[in-house]
Amino acid sequence: MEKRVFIDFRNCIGCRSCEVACAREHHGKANITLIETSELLMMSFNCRHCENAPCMLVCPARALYRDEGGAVRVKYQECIGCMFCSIACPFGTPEFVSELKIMMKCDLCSHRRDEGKLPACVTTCPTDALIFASEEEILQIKVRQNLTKIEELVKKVEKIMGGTT
Amino acid sequence: MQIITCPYCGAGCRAYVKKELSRPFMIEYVTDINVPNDFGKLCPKGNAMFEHMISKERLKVPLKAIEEGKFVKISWKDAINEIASFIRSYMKDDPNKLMFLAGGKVSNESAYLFQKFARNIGTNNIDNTSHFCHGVSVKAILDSNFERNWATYEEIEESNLIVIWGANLAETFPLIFRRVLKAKSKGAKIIVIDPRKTKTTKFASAHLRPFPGTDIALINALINLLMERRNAKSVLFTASDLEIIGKYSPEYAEKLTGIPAGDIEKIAREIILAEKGNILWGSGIAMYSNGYDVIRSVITLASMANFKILPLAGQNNSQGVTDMGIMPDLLPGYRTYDDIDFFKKAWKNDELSDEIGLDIAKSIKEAQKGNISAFYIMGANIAVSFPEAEKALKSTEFVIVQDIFPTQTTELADIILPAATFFESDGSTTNVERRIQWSPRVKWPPKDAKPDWAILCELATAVGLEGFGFYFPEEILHEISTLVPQYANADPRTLTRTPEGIIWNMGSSSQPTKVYTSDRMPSFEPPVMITVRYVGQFQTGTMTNRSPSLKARWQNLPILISEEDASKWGIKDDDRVRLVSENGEYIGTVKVSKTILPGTIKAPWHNGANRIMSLRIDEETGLPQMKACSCTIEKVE
Repeated sequence: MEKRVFIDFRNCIGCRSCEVACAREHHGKANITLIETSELLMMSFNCRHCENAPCMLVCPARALYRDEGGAVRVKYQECIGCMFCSIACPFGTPEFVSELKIMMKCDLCSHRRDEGKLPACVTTCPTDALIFASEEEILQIKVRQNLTKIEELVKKVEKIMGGTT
Repeated sequence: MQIITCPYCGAGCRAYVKKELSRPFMIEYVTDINVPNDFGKLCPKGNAMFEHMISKERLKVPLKAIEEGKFVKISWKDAINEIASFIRSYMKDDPNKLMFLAGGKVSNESAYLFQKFARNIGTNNIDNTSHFCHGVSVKAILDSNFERNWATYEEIEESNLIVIWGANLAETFPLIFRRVLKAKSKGAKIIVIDPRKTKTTKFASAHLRPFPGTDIALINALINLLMERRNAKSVLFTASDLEIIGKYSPEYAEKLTGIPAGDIEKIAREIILAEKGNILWGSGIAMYSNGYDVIRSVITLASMANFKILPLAGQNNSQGVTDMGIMPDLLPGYRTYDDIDFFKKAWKNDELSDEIGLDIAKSIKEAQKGNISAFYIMGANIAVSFPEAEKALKSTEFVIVQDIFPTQTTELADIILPAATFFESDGSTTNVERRIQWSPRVKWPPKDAKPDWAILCELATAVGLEGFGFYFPEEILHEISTLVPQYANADPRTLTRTPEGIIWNMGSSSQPTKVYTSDRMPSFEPPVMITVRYVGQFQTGTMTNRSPSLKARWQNLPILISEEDASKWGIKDDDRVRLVSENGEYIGTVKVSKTILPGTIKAPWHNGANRIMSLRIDEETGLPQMKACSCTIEKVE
């Protein structure tokens, strides 16, 4: 599976760097949004680039396609602006841009990926809450985190019980 | 690609510019070299650092007021001549009727020239807007000989206990907060001392909530506990110090601060156990009338535990303007007026004054009494950021404002000089870890706007002063590096070739730390208003409100009140309220919040909540009360 932007909600400080960086890279339009669900609890959300993407299935103009990096992108010259994709999307991410009369969505910063760089939101995130990785890598990170926790616990128990290590 | 410094906060983050001197100005993250912002990451302000510069509202030509608020264009020659003739008329007899104010956002070179200009005219009435936050911190550190423990950002990562005192790092310094989180992931404990629950306290292992203004009681109690539990030989307290400290048992501190005594004891235990600790503090303790005392006491605490310290500065060059001597009582390089002969020789001027000048607060007071004839304000919006400043500027005969945008202060000016932004001129700045960094020009100034240093050179020559024949900021930096010992390594040849920047040059001082204790404490009647900042707005919003992507996201910042107070006062979400203090009123929309300590109100300071603070100067400390004030709250129908 190709790499996606994953969000570690525990690390997010809600600074909206990702939004502003995305807006800068995409001509003033941010494709990642940060929502303060309740006080001091922030979640930033972007397109998940679903494996079985409903937006691609419903598009009557076949304007949505998957590029070689796995990102679901819009062919702007073919988009008719019918907004079917935002209706079909369970997260409602594709947004209609009224000036251009087309839909716009996250393209995982294709221009930056071409240069071998990470998407702007991931590069700028001050607390590493946004991670650009494949699912396997994310699993590995989670497993490693849990292992260190268990290791700490074991050490604590040994300290109390007078273990040998 | 050129490497530039972010013009916003004091963290001093760096970024590459993709294209120079032509649009579009795009930035790229610095991931390859050691810069203050780890991995080149940037906060939202840093990401939008170019937006304000290309705004159409820029000041482009010199303006002269024909009546208040109405301006006509004049030529540079006329503007310079008018100012020069006014200054000349005061220079001979009464230079102390002039007041010079600089913002903390000017480059080191402009700052140096500004104070050189003022002092060569014969007055020491010169101050910067960071005086009451970062200036107080720096003075306290130098007075206690503790600069050897001034931390760098890397040392934050290595420490295993981090105390964040009176600062909301996640909101004001996201990139320094990154270093704190990195330390946390290595197992460090984080203690936050802040009355409000913030995004920073979410990551803290302990959170103490003292009532505003009572921090000194908490510090004294901690010092007291540290004395009991560890051999405090390295620190020499006098009998009077011990008497003060002895009073502050954890129980007594609990009565004053509202923090449970058990929590104070727990924190003291953490401090004793920590091997490598770090205390970071912000304006939350510095801007009180007892700010100097509190910081000296924090330093005493740090010296007992051998912790590192890091004062946080709000503006990109707060540190630099203080280093350059934009202070009424300090010459460049923190020399006192005993060393005035050194500068008499260096500047070839025997008529330098050695009296301590007026600071901002005093000058605003004096101006209202009619004792100040002219203000020269360089890059500061004091009409919004200082109480009573509007009145002071209105009652002053001649006001010169040099800025990049029309502000509430330029409205009150007699002559407005259009300045270049930070990116439109070469220059160096110094961040809070004392790293001096060079930032080259990436754009030409619009129309007739000129860099600050160039305007000052022209003006000084017109006034008839010698030693202002500079054509490049590098020449000024060379002069700085010869006169300011801390900048001895930062000669232009080295600095412009070192993208990583150069850390202050410090002689290894072997003098012991001077300890200091105090029990001076301001008292407030609740409700107390405290000003807070938001990550996407900066100071009075002169720059951030002209950056479309920041303005769209951080608008209508609410006044926060606690749930208990809201039900007591009968106020609910989205009510318009008026905060009234003895000095004025501030109107805003309310948000009821669980994060607020009952009895306190948090107002965003970007829209001028600071104006209702009292400017009453504490007679003993000489500092005004700029962080909190008692006020009343009423609904606006």
